[in-house]
Parts: sequence; C-alpha cells; structure tokens
Amino acid sequence: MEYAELQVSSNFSFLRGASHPKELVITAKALGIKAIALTDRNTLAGTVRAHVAADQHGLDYIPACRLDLMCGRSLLAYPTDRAAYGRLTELLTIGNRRAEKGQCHLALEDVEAFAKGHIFTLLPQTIVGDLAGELLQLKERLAAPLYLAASYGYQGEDKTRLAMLAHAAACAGVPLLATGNILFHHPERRILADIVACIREHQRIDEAGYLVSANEERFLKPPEEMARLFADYPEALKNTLVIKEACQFSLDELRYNYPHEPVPDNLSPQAHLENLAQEMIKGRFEDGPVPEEILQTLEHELDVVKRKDYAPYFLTVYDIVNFARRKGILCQGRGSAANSLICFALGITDVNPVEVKLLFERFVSDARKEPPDIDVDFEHERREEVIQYIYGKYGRHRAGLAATLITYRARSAVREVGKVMGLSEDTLGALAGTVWGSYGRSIPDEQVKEAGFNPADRCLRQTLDLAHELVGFPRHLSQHVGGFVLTETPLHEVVPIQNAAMKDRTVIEWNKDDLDALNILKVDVLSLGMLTCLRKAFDMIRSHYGMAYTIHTLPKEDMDTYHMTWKADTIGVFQIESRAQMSMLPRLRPKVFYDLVVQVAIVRPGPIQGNMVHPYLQRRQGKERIDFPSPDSRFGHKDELKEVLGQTCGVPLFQEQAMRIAIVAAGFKPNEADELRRSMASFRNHGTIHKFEEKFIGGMTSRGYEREFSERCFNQIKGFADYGFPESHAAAFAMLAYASAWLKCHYPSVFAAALLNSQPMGFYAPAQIVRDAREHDVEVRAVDVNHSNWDCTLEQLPDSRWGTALRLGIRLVKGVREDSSKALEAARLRPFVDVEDLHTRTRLPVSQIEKLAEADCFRSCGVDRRQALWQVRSLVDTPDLPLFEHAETRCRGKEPAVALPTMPLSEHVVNDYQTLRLSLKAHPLSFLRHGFDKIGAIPHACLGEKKNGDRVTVAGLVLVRQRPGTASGVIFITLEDETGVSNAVVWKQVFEDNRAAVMKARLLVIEGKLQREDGVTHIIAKRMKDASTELLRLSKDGEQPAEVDGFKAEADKMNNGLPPYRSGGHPRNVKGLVPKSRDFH
Amino acid sequence: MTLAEARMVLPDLQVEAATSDIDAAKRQELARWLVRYTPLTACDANDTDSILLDVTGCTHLFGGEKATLTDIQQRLEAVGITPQLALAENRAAAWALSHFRPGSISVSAVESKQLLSPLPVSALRLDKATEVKLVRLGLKTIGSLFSLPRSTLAQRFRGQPKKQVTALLERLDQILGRSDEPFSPLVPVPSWSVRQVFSEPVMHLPMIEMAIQKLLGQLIEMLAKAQLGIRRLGLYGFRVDGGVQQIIIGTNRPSRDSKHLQRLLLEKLDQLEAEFGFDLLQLNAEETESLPPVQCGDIKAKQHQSVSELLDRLTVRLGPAAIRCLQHRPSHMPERAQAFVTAHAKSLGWDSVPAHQSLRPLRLLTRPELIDVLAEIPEGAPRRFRWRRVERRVVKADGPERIAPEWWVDEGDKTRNYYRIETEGGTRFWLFRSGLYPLPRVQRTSMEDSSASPTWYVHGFFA
Repeated sequence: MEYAELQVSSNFSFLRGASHPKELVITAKALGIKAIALTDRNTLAGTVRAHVAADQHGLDYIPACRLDLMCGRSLLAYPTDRAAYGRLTELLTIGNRRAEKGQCHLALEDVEAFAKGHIFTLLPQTIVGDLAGELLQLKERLAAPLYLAASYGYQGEDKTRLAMLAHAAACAGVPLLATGNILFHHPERRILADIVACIREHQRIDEAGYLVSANEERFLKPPEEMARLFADYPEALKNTLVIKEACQFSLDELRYNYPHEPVPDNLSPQAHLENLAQEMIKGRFEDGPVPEEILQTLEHELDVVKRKDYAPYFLTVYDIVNFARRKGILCQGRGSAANSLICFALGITDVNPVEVKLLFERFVSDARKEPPDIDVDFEHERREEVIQYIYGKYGRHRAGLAATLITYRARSAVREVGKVMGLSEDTLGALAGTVWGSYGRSIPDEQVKEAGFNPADRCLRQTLDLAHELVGFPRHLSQHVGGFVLTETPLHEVVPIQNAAMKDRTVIEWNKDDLDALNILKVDVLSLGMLTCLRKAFDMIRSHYGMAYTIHTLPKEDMDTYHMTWKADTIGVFQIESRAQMSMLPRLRPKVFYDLVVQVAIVRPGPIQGNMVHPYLQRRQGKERIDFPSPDSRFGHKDELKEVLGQTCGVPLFQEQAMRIAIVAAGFKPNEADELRRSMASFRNHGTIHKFEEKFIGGMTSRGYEREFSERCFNQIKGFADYGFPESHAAAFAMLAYASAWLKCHYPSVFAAALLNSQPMGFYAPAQIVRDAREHDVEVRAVDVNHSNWDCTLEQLPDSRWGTALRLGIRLVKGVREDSSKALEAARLRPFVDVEDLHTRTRLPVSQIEKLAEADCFRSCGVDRRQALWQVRSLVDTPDLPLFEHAETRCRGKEPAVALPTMPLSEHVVNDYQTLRLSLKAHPLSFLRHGFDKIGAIPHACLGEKKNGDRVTVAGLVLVRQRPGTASGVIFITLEDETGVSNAVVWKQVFEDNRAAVMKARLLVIEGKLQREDGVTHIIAKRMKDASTELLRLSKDGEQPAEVDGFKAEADKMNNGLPPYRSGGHPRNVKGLVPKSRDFH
Repeated sequence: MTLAEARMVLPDLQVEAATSDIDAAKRQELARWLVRYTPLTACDANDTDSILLDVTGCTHLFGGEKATLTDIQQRLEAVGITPQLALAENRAAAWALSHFRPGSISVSAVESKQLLSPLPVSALRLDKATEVKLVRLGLKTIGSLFSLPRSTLAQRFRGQPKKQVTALLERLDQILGRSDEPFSPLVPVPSWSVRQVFSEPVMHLPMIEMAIQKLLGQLIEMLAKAQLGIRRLGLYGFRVDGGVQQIIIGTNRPSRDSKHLQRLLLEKLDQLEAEFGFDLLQLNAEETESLPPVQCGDIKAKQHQSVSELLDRLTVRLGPAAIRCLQHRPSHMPERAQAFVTAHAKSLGWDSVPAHQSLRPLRLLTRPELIDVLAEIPEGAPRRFRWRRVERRVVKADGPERIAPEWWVDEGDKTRNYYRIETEGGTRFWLFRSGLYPLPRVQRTSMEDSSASPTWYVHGFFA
C-alpha cells in the first residue's frame, strides 16, 4: 500500500503543531510513507528544514502551504512547478504585508489571482450545508485542480462524515483526498500540542476545556493503517500519489540565484573576478613584485571558485565593500571565505592569509556543499548607508533581511509551560531564576531542589519535562542583525516576505541556515563600533599629525605595541580589553600577529571548556614539551596531527582544528565533519551533537589515541556549540585588535578621543577611558562652551609628550542634543562672555543651556556650575520673532545680588558624575580615603607592594561584575578607586554568603587574599561589605545649611541630636551619585 | 529595583503583592474613625501616607492642642498603629513637620518658621525636578529659601511645565501661612439602610408585615435613584429585651421588585421570635449590584425574571443547597462535562458545547457498568453484549468516538472508544471500550498499556 501524507502542520505553524519538521520527516520515512508535504499555516518558514531533512533521509518532499483565508475557508496549496511556487510565495507576501507582524490576511480573490499551476485541496469545516455547491463554485473560481480533504479523526461519526464528504465530492466532480491532518509525529506529543494551544490562547490547562485535543489521533500513521481507515475509499489514498507525481518542484531549484549586477555585460563573472583579482593583487605589494607563491595560491583559489561557480558571490561582496571604500566607510570582511587571497586582493580583508597560514581549502573546498561565507563589518554609525545602498542597487524586491528564528529556551519554556500548568507566579519566578543566562538547556534536579522545590512533585515534574521538550521550539520570526539576501529573480518569488516589528523593515521567512541549505546568496552586513573608532582615529591623525594611515598600512609587527599588551595595558583595545583577556595577556605575551589571533580565540568557552588554555600556556612558556599525539602506527602517519596543530603548540584552539581532527584523527568523512560543524554551529537546541560524541571518541581511540585526549577534543567541540569561534574570525578580529593597540600605543590622545566619539561600544565607560588616557600622560581638558565641539577634539600642545591634549566633547554631557551643540559651535565666532551672551547668540532653549551649566561647562566664562546655573535659571525662552533676532542687547533690569553657598569639591565631583559620568576634578573615593584608612583599606596602587598571599582590604567603586558561564559560578568584580583599578575573584561559596553585597553594591569593600601569577594580580575575596551609603557623604558633607542666615544652632542640633530621619539618607538615593556598573552574565 | 533584581540579590525573598486598594480603603476607614476629633478630616489620594485633620475650634473638647495630640497618639498606638503627628498653624507646615521631623509635635505660629527652616526642601512637596535644581544651587533647606528675595526666586522658578507656575513660591506662602490650601473633607459613604422605631413594641406578624412593606418601599426608592438592585437583604429586629433577630435573603439576580422581595422575606418571617416585641426594625441592602432601568415590554427579560424569581422563592423555602442546576463545563470527558451548581451561581449556559461534538446521551450512568461484549478486533462496533444479565443483539452502531484521558489529571485512565448502539428491542445505548487494541506499526503513548486487553462498559442511554 502506498501513501503520501499531504496535510502536516509542524511547529512552524506557531503554537499549533508539536513536532519539528525533521522529526516528522524521519518518522514518515521510517513508516514507509512515500512523500510528505509540510502544510504550515500561511507560512513556508519550516519548509527548508523539512526539505533538508527529507534530502538527508531519502524521502520525497513537496513544498506546500495551508492557506487560512479571512473568510474562514482553509485550502491546501501544492505548487506543481517553479513558476507556481513563485506565485505561492508572492501570494503569501501580499497577505503578510497587508497584515501586522505574524499575521497573514488573504481573501479568496487573492488566491484566484495566483492559482495557476497549483493543486488545491479544500479542508471542509463542516458537513452541514451545501458542500457540493461550495466545491463547484471553488472549482470554477480557482480554475485549478481541486480536491476535497477527508481525514479520520475518531470523532464518533467518522463513517457518516466520510460518506457525506464522498457524496458531496462525487456530486461536484471533485476527487477525494485522504489526509492524516497531522499535528505531531508521535502520539506522545499530544500533550505538548495541548500545552502550546494553551500558551497560544493564554489558558490554564485545567480551564482550557475544548481547546485541548479529545484524543491523540493526529499523529503520523503507517500507510497500512491509513488503508484500513479508508478501506471504503481507496481512490482517496491513490489521489495522494497523483498529487505527489504532479508536484515536481523541488526547493533545490532555487539554488545559485545570484544577482548579475556587479558583472560587466561582456564578461562572465568568473573572467571578471579573475581580471580584478590579478590586477588588484599588485596593489597589495607596492614595494615589489608579487611573490610567486602568492600568485600560485591565487591561481589555485580562482580555480576552485570557478569549479564551484562562486564568482558572482565574491563580486557582490566586492561591490558592497567598494561602495563603502568610496564613501570612506571603514569595513572589514571575516568568515571562512573572507580569509582568501581573492578577498585580500579585492580589499575585502586586510589579513594576508598566506602570512598567517590560513589555508583556503579549509574554508572552501569541493567537499563542502555550502556557499562561501563572508561577513562584512562596517562602522556602526554608518552601516545604514550601506544598507540603503544595497536596497538602492538591488531594489527592495531583490534584497531583504534574513530572519532569525526565536526559539524557546529553558527560561522562557519553564515560564510559559508553568503558567499553563497553573503554577504560581512566585514558583515560576524562582524556577526560572535558577537558570542563569538564557542559553541554558534544561533545569537539572539539583537546581530545582536548590530553589526549594520537590522535583518529584507530579505537576512540577510534568512542567519541567514539558518545558524541556518545548526548548528549541520556534516561537516567532525576528529580524537578523544584518544578513542580507540578494537574488537575481524577485525575492518574493523565492521566499515569502513579512513585516518586521520595526516600521518599514521587511524580513524574509527563512533564517541563515535555511539560506545556506539552499545556496542562496547571503551577505552579512554587520556593524562594529571599533571600525567607527578606527576611522575617526585615522581622520584625526591625518589632520593633527599629517600622517595617512589605514588598517593595511599601519607598521606591521611593532614591538612597542606588543610590549604594551604584555602589561595588560589594553583598555579600549578591540577584543583584548576584557578582564579575562587582560589576565591572559601577561601570560601569553604576544610577539607576532599570529599570537594575537590565538589570544583573541583562546579566552572563549570552547578552549576553556575543553581545558585547552592551560596546556597551551604551559607549552608556550616552555614549561611543557610540545608533542603531538599520534595514532597507532598501523592506522596513520605519526605526524598526522602535527599538520593540524603545528601552529598552536599541539593544542587545538580553533573550530577548524577541531574539524580537521574529526577528519584526520577520528576518521570522519568530510561531509560528516561538516554535519558535525553544522550541528554545533546552528541547530544547537536539537541535541544532535551527542550522537557524534560516540563516533568521535570511538574513532579516535580505535585509532590508538588516548581516551583522555579525545575527550578533551570533543569537549572543546561542545564548547564551540555555544559560541563557535573559527580561526578565520579570530584573524579578522586580531587585525582590528592590532590596529587599535597600535593606535593606543603611539597616539593615545587620538585613540581616547576616537573611542569616546564612538560610544557606546566596548567594555569600558567613558570614565575609565579618560582615566586611562590621563595615566598615559594625555592632558584631558574639561567640556567647555568656548572650547568643546560635539565630538571630543584634540588641541595642539606642542610641549607635551604626545603633542596634543584631549578636549572632551559636548556629547558627554547628559541631555544635550547634537543639534544644540552644532548650533553652539556655529554661533561661537568670538568667545561667549557669559551665560546670557550665549543665550542671545545661540538662541538655544534654556533647558539645553541649563544642562550645559549643570555639567560645569562655563568655567571659561569665569563662573562655576552653581553660579552658571543661577544665571541660567533667570533666562527666558524668547520666541523667534524677526524683530528680536538681532537684538543682542540686554533689556532686563539689575537684580539684587545673591550669595549662594559655594559648592565644595566633593559635591562638584558628584555632580560631574551625574551630568558627565566622569569627573576630571577628583575621584569620588579620594574624599572617603580617610574613612577607609580607618578600616585598613589600602589604595589599589599599593597592592603592588604586597606579596603573594598577603591579606588585604580594598575599597572601590564597582566597575564591572561578571559571571561567565564557563567559570562555574565564580564572579569577577572590577573595582576602581582614586589610585587605580583592581580585580577580585569571588568563589561561589563566598558569593552565596555575601550575595546582597556582591549583587547590588556600588561601593564595595573587599577583604581577601592577594594572588599574583605571571604578573597578574587578583584579590581572592573572603569577606565583602556594601559601603554604598558612604557615597552619600560626598554631597552631605558639603551640605551646610548652617551658613544660611543664622539658623546655625538649630541646624546643628538637627544633625547631631536627632536620629537621621528621611533626610534623603535612604540607600536607594545612592543610585544617582555614581554611574551604574556594567554587569555581564 | 525590579522584583527580579531583588530576587537575584536575595533568592529567598518573601514577596507579597501590593494591595494599594486595600491600603486606601483602610486609610479611609481610619480617617472616618478620626472624625471623632473633627468633622473636617481628609485623605488626599496623591498623598498616600497621610491623613489630614483640621482641628480648628475642636481641640478644647479634648483638653487643648497638646492633649488632643496625645489622645490621638495613645488611641492609635492602642490598636497597633504608630502615628507620626504634627500640629501646626497650617496644612503645609504640619505636613513638613510630620514627615521630616521625628516625634509628635505641636507648634505655635511663632515657633513655626524656626522649626521649618532646617528641614530639607523636599518638605515643601515640590516636584522632583525643582528639588534637584534647588539642591544644585545649594539651596538645600527651607530656611535658605526664606532669606532670598522673592523676585529672584520667582524669576528662576517659573516652573517649566506651565501648570506649576510659581509652584515654589506658592508652597513657600502656604507653609508660612500667607496663602490658603484647599481642603476636601471626607464625605460619608451612603449606607442603604432604613429603620422604623416603634413607640409601642410590636409583636404581631401583621404589624411587622406592614412595617416591612413601608421600609421596603423606602429602601427601593433610595436604590432606584442610585440604579442599584438588591442581591442580599437583611432584616433586623431589635427586641425590647435587647436581643436582635435577623433574616437574610439572597436573590438570583439584582432586584428592585418590592412585591418579590417582600414575598421572599415573608417566607421566612415565621423564623422571627418577637417574644416581648420589637421596638426597632431595620432593613439593610447588604449586597447590591448595578441595575439600570429596563425598557418596558422586554419579553425576554420578563421571562428570565420569572424563572429567576421562581428560583429565589424555591431557594428561600427549601434552602440554598436544595435547588441545583446542571451546568455545562467544557471538557471532553462526558462525566466532567457537566456539574451541579446552586441556583444562585452565575451563568447556566449550554451554548459553549462545540457544534461538531457528536451526540451525548440523555442519561449518563454515574458509574459506567462493566459488560461482556462480542466485537470485531481492533475497532469494530459490538455485535452482541450482555448487560445486567440480559443478552442484547446490536442492530445498528456508530463509532468509535475516541476520547483520551485528561493527562494532567492522574487517574491511570485509558483512552475510551464510544459507540452509539441500537439493540433489537429499540433501546439505544452508549457503550465504550476502555483501552486500545495494538495495531501493526502504530506506536502508542506509554499510558496505553497494550498488554491488558480492553474492557467494555455501558455509560449512558439515548432517548
């Protein structure tokens, strides 16, 4: 008996279906079903996944869709050829575009217009009424083959129902089609189907009533079972095969749909690419002829590209990058194919792959089926220009943003399932709270117990199990950060397009994995703050120092720069500025560019979870012999791994190396390794990775490797699953790290200015960047209405070490808008003499001037913050009448003089922090030092005099709190005082004992043990105290109401005699005093 | 700080939902009690932690200002409330002192300025922005403002949002008693209660009935103005010997029909024990619901009304537990698809039964009864079965309707297959088979233990 299942809803019918497309495909194949059609509700979002799975398992797959119309009718549509498929996607696009996000509004008229080439099936809603008439009418209107679906739902009167359907179909001359009306692949999933239905309708399960299913019959049934149910209607079964035969369209036909724009008409893309590459490579070697080795490699690469027909892809990326170059937008490519000589020649990347020994084959080869991958980073402030260029060049109908599939994660799953199961808000909060970070997979029993619940409780157990099952289910589609899809034919004929949550943005229904699987051209147009920073820095060097640099032309392998990194002096440097990176730098001591590549990649979950960091450092420092594990001589050459791991001292650090090990040492076939990579890179929720574990470790051990080594290798692969970090990306990042480190080393004033002008970005707040600059002998000058522009600028200072001083920009002042600043700059033909002068000449709103006064920007007018503010308060916004436009004379009478109390320095500092987030006057803690001396807390600068193992106490503002997922509950805290910055490590137990202090203190006192290793100093915290209320004294000490008018005695009594009572002394008032720490989980 | 953040800091934090409405109600209650000190008592909705008393001309009743304060303090402390009291010459000063100066205090007009001076400017009840501005200017206490020229202040604190024109000066004037602050005293809540006092105690039913009729008329008139209807009505008889008798009646839907309500009361009137007679009768509408006037001639409403009035009468006569209705509950399980509810429960609709659900029997057995069945495996309808020792031959059958157990209720149930059966005699049964026969290559959930063979039951009868 043969049968094709043509009505299947997967979990891409969001919150309706309860099985992944893959599960459905695999089950269908196992049951011997001939073909399967995924008919999700008004969407094709899941179709590629089903297609890929069907391809893998050798099942025929029919792309199709269920159309739920606004009139209440439901039709199944099966496109028979490419043209019909294009009509289907266009139809869905129309429906999506006229509805709000996630909805699709279609009328029968729309379907009529796009009906050609389809086979339709009507899903009867009811058997009451004139079904035959309805069928006749539909048949005529659609003018396409029409079937009537019949399924056996065990609803009591199925036989009668089937008979009536058959009768109506016969009367209308419409064939009957047997379907399973599938909602899940296995009966067990009925429960999950009920849960998602309740989530959809916001119902509790015990109140859901008829929302839940009566039975579990909507699972995939074997053909013989279908034959038994439809024994009286064998033709209904046969019709499934008739449709299957008629639908010959496959999604594979969408492959290689490259735009032709970048290619001149008279040339083939390949020829054009070859010409370009060979011409432009010369530009890369200005000093002399291009080395023979390079030319050969280039030749070889071009040859591979030719065989794979990838030329249009490279040309498209080149075109986009070229546009950015013309506009002076800094950009850099990364990703597998980006590290090719072709890209180097075309200027897509500045990393010379030959120098870094990145082999092209590792990224693009005949064995790999995927298209090459190039992500291009652009300056974050100007990426929009690039996006607009792409839209302009290819048109909105051929360029679109890829989708990101938002799936359930442990936390969200527990929340939603728990709500359906009727758990209380508290319980859910506590349960979900046990998952730290949102990538958790499931909640282990110990954690449940820790949260104070009994994991054996039936309802709780069910909730947890169901939540676990729900993890990985698609929830909705969202917009990818910058993945652009470009096609030759109109995009809406390839994939349905829908509205994004953002206005005027549209998104396609497929995500990047889907696009990869179909070989559809995708360019990631990403934004990177550091590129903005570098471009700004290069501009400033050009104007102030007369030197023209680009990333490519910076002096290479500069030892001063490397020495700087050895001291972990890397605040603001791309990628290697985090605490973890900083603590690694003095140990790793980069000497050449490749060391930076390693440095960037090593502080990642992959190498850390794989326990690769320590061995690598040991070997690098020569404390351990570098050897290469070998297989048993019967199985392979003893140096087989040396090839793979030679560059990294025999320790696998990169994703690619893990892949090579799989192939070379574990005996994976290239396509298997590919699958392994894919399972770790993308579909991380599917848990497919575990099936590779056995094969991998088994493969290695059977070939004579030590089990321990193979397990470590595989652990590393698992680490990559969460944060894949390939060498190609590391190389691109290392390039930027080098460039930014070089700038910091040689032009610290420029670098600080550029960093400040590119905020928000990076790891540190402006306060730390400024502090760092000052520590490097950069003179930093305060924001001032007579000197500052919107951006931070450089001022000539010939006698100083760096030749320039850094003038902070108005952008740092909270609440002042860029246009106000620009107006101020424009009006500043001669200096402003006072507040009123500024007001009459700039005509800025008083509120904006007030912001400037609050930030103490009027010092050059001879007034401090308080006086300036007093003056500003008397200003009045005047309407822009032509008569007053040139009236710069003052017309108000003289005011009585008022003596305001002077603002003490500590209060100035607090106000600086409130308005600028930094202060050049002093560090807040310098005012509290006296108190810290009393409790024995030493300044951070003195930590250097202490010995390893000494007990120390320090106090400081909390800059950063970090709880990396890889560090098993350890928390890292960075503190700052007036003398420096220090790092503390809080072990899990200490954290639990001091939880409140660790989590909410702004000013923290830490008592602990000093630990120094390889020049890296840490404090291992033992005890902690939240001293945040101390900060209140900064403004309170200055509070001297006594000086006003002779109320002194009374005020003193107030302060001394009585307990503090609601005088602003509540800890929550500390909040405004210093900026919040940056916390990373 | 959000709750989630707080939980991270203190994982075992006890959380109670805020009950601002209850708090407000309690504050109202407290304010009403404080009316004993002055009729001018107020609860400002924007100032949730204070109650305001204008005691001008009242304090001598309690022995002077100080004594009044002490009295209030003692009485409140006795019931577990710790008040923070201040008595001053004006509302603004009293507010500032009570909120920013510990301990109860009574201040004369002379002392007032001096005591207010050291208080922070936030005691002026300014908006946050103005307060921050003042502090930035170094004007941190009320006293520092007293000393500044009025014109200077006026110019600098015009107030950005237009409505706060000279808000600062206005507050200053108020606290110094230079200008008045409007005050809206508490208005007592209306109570739906009428009473009649008798000069001679009444003890005979006709007399009481007449009184009830009159009281009811008054009450209904009051309620009609407020567009309310009675859901619960209480009659209280105060006896000359000090005892109180009561009758409470409820209604199915809000009512203002005096005839109907009187009838309900009269049903229970014999429960009153008058003994030596009542000298006071009181009628309270204890629970009311909105009841707008209805258009005359609404026949449907009329019908509803007569049914509900019948239910009311039956309930009054037989007790609330005696009258029950079958109510539909949405569930696939037949025995859970309906439930008995008392007549006073809301909504009796059967409209939510899905249209596609196949027929349900007229009578459902409380407990399905086990039967012997001869049927075709795996899913055939019964051919013959024996129920209550009688062999029955099936002539017509339809089914199965498959109903799986509700998985969130753990009862070890199995999937049921229901059949509609007509036997030779014309009786129509609703039978089901519990459990499924295994089918080739069809997997089932672990709940369906296929090793035990299915059993058959009778569950109901059709007409």
